[in-house]
Amino acid sequence: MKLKEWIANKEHKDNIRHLSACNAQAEKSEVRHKFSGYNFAFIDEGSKREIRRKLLKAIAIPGYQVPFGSRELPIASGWGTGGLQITFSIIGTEDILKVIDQGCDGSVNAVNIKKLISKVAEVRTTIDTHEATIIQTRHRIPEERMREDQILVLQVPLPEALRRIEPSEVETRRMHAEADYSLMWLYLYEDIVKFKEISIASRYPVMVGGRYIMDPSPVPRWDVPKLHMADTLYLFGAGREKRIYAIPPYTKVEPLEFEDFKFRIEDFKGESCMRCGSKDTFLDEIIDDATGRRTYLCSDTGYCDKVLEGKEGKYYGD
Amino acid sequence: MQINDETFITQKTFRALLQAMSHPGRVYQLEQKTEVRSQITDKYNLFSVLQTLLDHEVGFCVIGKEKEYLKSNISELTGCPVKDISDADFIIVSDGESNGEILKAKKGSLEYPDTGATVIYSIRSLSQIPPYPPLVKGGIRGDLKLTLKGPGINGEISLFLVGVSKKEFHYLKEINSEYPLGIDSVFIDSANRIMCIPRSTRIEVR
Amino acid sequence: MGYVAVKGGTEAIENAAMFLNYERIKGNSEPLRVEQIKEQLYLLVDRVMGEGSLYAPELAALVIKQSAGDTFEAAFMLRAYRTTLPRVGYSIPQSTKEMRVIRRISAAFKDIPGGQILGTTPDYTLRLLDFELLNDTSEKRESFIRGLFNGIDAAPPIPDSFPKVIEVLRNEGLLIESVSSQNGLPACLPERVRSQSGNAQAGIFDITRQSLTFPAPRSAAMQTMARGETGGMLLLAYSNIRGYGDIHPFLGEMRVGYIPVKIKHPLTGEPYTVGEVKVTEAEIIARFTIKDGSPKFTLGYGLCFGHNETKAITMAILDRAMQSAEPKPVTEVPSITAFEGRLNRGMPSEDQEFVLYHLDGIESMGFCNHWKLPHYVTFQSDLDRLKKAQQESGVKNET
Repeated sequence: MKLKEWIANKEHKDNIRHLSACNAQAEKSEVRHKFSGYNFAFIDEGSKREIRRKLLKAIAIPGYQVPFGSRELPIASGWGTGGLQITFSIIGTEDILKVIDQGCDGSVNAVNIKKLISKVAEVRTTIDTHEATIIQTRHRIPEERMREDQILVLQVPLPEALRRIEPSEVETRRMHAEADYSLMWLYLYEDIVKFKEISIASRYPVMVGGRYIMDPSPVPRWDVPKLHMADTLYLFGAGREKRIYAIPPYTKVEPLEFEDFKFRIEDFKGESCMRCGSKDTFLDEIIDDATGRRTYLCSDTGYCDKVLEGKEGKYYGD
Repeated sequence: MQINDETFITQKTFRALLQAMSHPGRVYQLEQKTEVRSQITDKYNLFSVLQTLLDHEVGFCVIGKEKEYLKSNISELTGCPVKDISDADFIIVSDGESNGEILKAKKGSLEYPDTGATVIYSIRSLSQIPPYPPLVKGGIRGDLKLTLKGPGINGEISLFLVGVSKKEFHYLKEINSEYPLGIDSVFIDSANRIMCIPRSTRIEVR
Repeated sequence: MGYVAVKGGTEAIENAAMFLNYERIKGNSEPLRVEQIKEQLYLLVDRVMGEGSLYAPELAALVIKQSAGDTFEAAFMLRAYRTTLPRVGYSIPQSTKEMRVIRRISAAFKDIPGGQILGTTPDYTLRLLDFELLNDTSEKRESFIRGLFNGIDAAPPIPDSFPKVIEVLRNEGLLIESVSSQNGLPACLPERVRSQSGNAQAGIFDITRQSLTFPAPRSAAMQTMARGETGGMLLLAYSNIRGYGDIHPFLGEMRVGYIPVKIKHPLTGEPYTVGEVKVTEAEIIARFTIKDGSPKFTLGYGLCFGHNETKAITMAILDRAMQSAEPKPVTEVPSITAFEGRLNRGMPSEDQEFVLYHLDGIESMGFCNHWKLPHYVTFQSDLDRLKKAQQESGVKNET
């Protein structure tokens, strides 16, 4: 068929007309995108609605991993996309945001994430734990005790606590369904036989509400007790693995342990922060280039600043 | 950046829901908005919650008064399809009384308990303190006192409800008796207050 | 003080971003036009559109330029952009019989209904360097094109539609559609899929809205593979045909061409063509013994955006591999005798969970690269355990 004939065909004519209408529509939306930027808090409202529904279910079943249709974001999978999607779904213009990585507000990844959120959600940011309404974090829980009206959003790389003993999702899901955790206990037992102590360093598995074994994200053991009967809502987001889970306030969170082989937090052997002098914070070990000497600094830099200025908030465990 | 009214309302409403679900039994105030997008003015509170949670990706059903009216309006506003109760993700109980219908709701599976339904009750009043003067009808108090325990609750919490029967909580307890299977409930009163009882909560009724 | 360097990063990352830009533009050559990438590096554009799961040649060319040719980064940018686009509707399922074919071959039959069309392929070219291209000019191109079309009158048009090669087998009753199911959804579909599948499009799983659950319906597997990373899929498929698996495929038919995208008209409900997309489709045939003992052929199916034959064929092989009668999980413990162990060992390419969880380039690239992020808190925690374990086992701590 020749082009002229093709165009003359009535059906094709309609197609062409419709096509140009669609093109005009597409152009219009293109303009919208180019000149008015992205939706508030980046992801579209439909996606937020799904994440919000899943968040409520996560809270209703503490420690259970709710699958969700994770979206791609302009930062890489494995770099905090789960936490970001949660933050985007809950944040409003009145929120005050703090973002930390390794406890530090100035860490490159924290800066990058904070930049993105404040760009697309126009919120105020802070480095003060006390002032923030939402804190997004990777690998740490702030030293200052958080309040009821605050929310901590944790970025999670590997949400399945049982993955270290079983690679298959079908199988770990069955274990959770039946609360069949015997393999996990066996793993801990063998660990003790080998090392005379439980050798899990971070990502220490916890039992939530006496029902679900949960991965608290790669926080140090130091932070695990902060999850138990807290005042704050903890939301966990794993973007690449497409899971959301939560610990509501005032929920029992117990690290897995045996009566004679207890869970233990990191031991800094009485060392203190060389900057603020704190002896009761998680410390980063620093090796001096010149002298090779080991010194220590608070991992929670916001807290360190506060102590230095003499206006620290309430300590944990008071 | 685009922030339209709906984006703003649903974000606020969701934050109230998030707090309420995290603190079962605590009564939260939804934002009072004068502008209403649809013609439904009498149940605005209910609709701001539905607008926040419902869309074409899930299904809902309605139990109780004004069933047909609500069905068509909710569908139109949210684009959410109507389903049988045994298949619905959201169940709207328009007058606080399911008469045991909620026992047919989806409870989820052990592998995926999150597929259990959410039931939304529209009731007369929710309060942390007993109504004054006391509601007495034929010698029976018209309000109901609930005492709740469980995750999200520091010890225990009590609250007072008007416009929902004691029986309803027996049904809720029954369908939530095999944790983690079960349904999660949201209560909304005529003064735009909300309160949640997730399946993890233990309920005691006076 | 090494670790402290990662703190105080605002300025550092802004400078790094500028340096990244500078690196691409610092040379003396003319700026690369997006149009040039789109036309002259079209296979790269096609690959990025497929892995980015967005059919947008111009944007794909743009991200290739922006990422300095890194396919992972380019596909990732396109995928992230995709997130921000509203879903305006669903296209109507389209049979590839109506494909406007530009290439079509079958390896299983010498002659096929409609004939073989070799089209554009490097398959039978010698892979010798063409040093002429070092001095490529518009004049040379024009003269080549003139030579090519000189003396050719109007060629007979390629028909609108070609019969499918596998129809021959189907008509003779030699083919079953798939091992695990006769139509779309397997019987063992998990509850959450059944409960959600009625909404958007009946029976079709949507991997962009739901997270995968296992056993995954074939529609979910197809979608995951269609946007899988070409290299990753090749590795898995190759492992199967080389020996870690038992598929002996024949290429029933492979076609490359354009298929119309049709939507229902919002008012009349009539199908309307809104555009077309270039796709590559592969159908492989492999033998399979059904329950009554009689051998049949089964089909493995692959289809991806653009012209990407390697991907379409590997997708078809993996589709067929994941339908193996009783796939054994990779983690299954081998039996005692060597031969039994060989039989009992699960093959990675036949384990649906293994395949589908690991072939997305955007996810795997992101996670592998995340090890560049600071991990000093968890490392500190690990150090603490290590020192403690050494103490317990009597090794002297050196500090």
